[in-house]
Amino acid sequence: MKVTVRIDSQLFEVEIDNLYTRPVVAVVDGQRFEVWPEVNPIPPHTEPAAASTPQPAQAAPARAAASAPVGADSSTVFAPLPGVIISVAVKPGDTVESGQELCVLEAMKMKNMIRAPRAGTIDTIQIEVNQHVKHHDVLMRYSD
Amino acid sequence: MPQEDPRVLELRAKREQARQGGGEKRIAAQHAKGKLTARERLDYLLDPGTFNELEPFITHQWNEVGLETEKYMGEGVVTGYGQIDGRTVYVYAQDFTIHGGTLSEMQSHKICRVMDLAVRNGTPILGLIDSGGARIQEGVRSLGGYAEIFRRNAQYSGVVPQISLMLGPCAGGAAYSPALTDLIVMVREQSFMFLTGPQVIQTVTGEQVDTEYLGGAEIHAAVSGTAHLAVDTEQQALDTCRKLLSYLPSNNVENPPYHPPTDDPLRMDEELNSIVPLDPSTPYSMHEVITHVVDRGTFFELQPDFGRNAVIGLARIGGHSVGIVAQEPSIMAGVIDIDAADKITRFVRMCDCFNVPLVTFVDSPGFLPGVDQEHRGIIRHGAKVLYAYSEATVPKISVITRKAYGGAYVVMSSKYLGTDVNYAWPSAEIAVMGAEGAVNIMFRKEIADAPDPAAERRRLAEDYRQRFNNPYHAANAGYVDDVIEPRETRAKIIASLAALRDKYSPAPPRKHGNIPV
Repeated sequence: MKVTVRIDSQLFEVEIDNLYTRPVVAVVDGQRFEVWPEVNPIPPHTEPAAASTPQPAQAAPARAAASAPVGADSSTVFAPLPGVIISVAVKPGDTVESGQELCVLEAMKMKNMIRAPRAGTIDTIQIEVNQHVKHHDVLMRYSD
Repeated sequence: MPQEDPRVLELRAKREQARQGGGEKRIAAQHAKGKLTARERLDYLLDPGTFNELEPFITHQWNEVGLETEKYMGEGVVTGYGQIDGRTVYVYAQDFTIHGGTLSEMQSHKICRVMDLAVRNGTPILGLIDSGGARIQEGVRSLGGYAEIFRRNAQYSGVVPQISLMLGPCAGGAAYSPALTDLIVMVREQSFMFLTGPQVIQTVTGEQVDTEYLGGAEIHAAVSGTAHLAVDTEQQALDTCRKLLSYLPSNNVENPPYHPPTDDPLRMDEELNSIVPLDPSTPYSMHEVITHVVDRGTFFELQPDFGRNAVIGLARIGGHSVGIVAQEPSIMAGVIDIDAADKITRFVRMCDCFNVPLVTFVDSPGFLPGVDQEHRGIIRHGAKVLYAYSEATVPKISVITRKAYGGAYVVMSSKYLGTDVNYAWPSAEIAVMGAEGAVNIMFRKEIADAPDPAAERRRLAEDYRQRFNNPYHAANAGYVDDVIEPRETRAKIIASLAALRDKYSPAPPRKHGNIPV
């Protein structure tokens, strides 16, 4: 398939052999790029989503700060580091998307953005601004 | 036309029978689970027409009356050699259609045979794992068979690359063989690894758990750190294996394959010059830094979901394979904790085994503080990182992009651990500790005696920042070799690697070191 990708005002003709194999091989101006998208291949019968832009290949988006290990209680958001809460971006009852900012934890000389590990509704918030938290303290809970 | 020789016809019939493994029914059962058979997997993995099978007629030699099991040619494993991208590999693929791929004495013989041949000929060993475990009927012979494999896994470690592709169950002691190999790829919802299964766990501890949560791909890729990659299908696992091999040499005396780069070695990457935010406490993506520096599209991250505050992966730069080690400041500020230390150490040692130069990007505020980490032994885990970098004799290049504080500075490929070339970006901060903490210790009395202690502390901290929150303090003292513009990083690394290509750094003779584990 061929798609046209617009980066700023420049248009690129991108030829993609097969979106459902890994790596996805894209050819732009005769140059071959291998892309390993993080999303899983979509079944071929659904409308394919926008093709990955080939340039720069594989610039991974910043991912949610690790808070709890996979498989841990997924209804709770934990502090990944010991530190101080400097802002809270949500309130109880808010619906959040996966990866949305929940709060900022200043720790280890860094303003660590704590992002939602999954989509859902926030039930309770256990922290407030300027509060010190310990490693693995509960920051907030989902209601679902 | 003369009649075909009956002996040839018999051979053909036997060959065909061996090809059928455990028979049509069991092949259909394997397909019904959405799985390929051992032979189909090898056909997919290897270059077309290159597979040569060895010992297809082997059957078990176990004739205990009352406990006989049916004899099938092949003994639950298909072994042999073939090619991947034109390079020879030795392979074994467990055949679930014969006694569930369970390991018997003779299956072990077959596997050990290809392992020995691989080492004798300096080629990788690839194991396609799909086995119900030890063949219970064979008792200690089966256990001894495992021991023979494990011993070879250990003795051949660092001689030829060993890759395990987990395409089905791998339970009990069997899990130790993959664990001893260099790289493990698992298929989600199809493969699992554990020492004691859900039933035993329930009997002993009362915990109820299913195989996927206990030892599935997701768990080993994100929580236990046993697997390097988790993929969705077995075809992806086999593709991944081919891709991994493209970065690795066939053995420890070869260099990794060179792939003529399609990306300009002298490319100045202007975006890199603005990637590190001016506010030192605002995170940025180290993944982005890496993908901008290496040959476009060649960064192949390993263990992306385990210890995510650290980043490891293979890449090519100027067409040559390199191992990338880094911190990710947008995850847990890039601290080094126990998992990160484990992840980095094993990777550094794998690269060193196989002549893959190391490029380290440093941005770490230090080790993760806390009672839990100290009690779980972060000292010995952190020490391994030091050990691995000090021991590694491959070319080593480091780039300090921002924070290099305290122990984290030292362990992350610092100059006097033997790193060949040390670069720092103008955003680098190299110090024993952060400003507030440092002035509280150094000037406790002055601060206490000052008319306005808080203001005095602020003044001293600012003074400290002026001194240490830049790379020049370290550069003046010779602790970094050069301070470079971020956009120059790619060209500088390529030039350094070229200058280090024939590096020779012999170690004093010894049996082996004693790395803290």
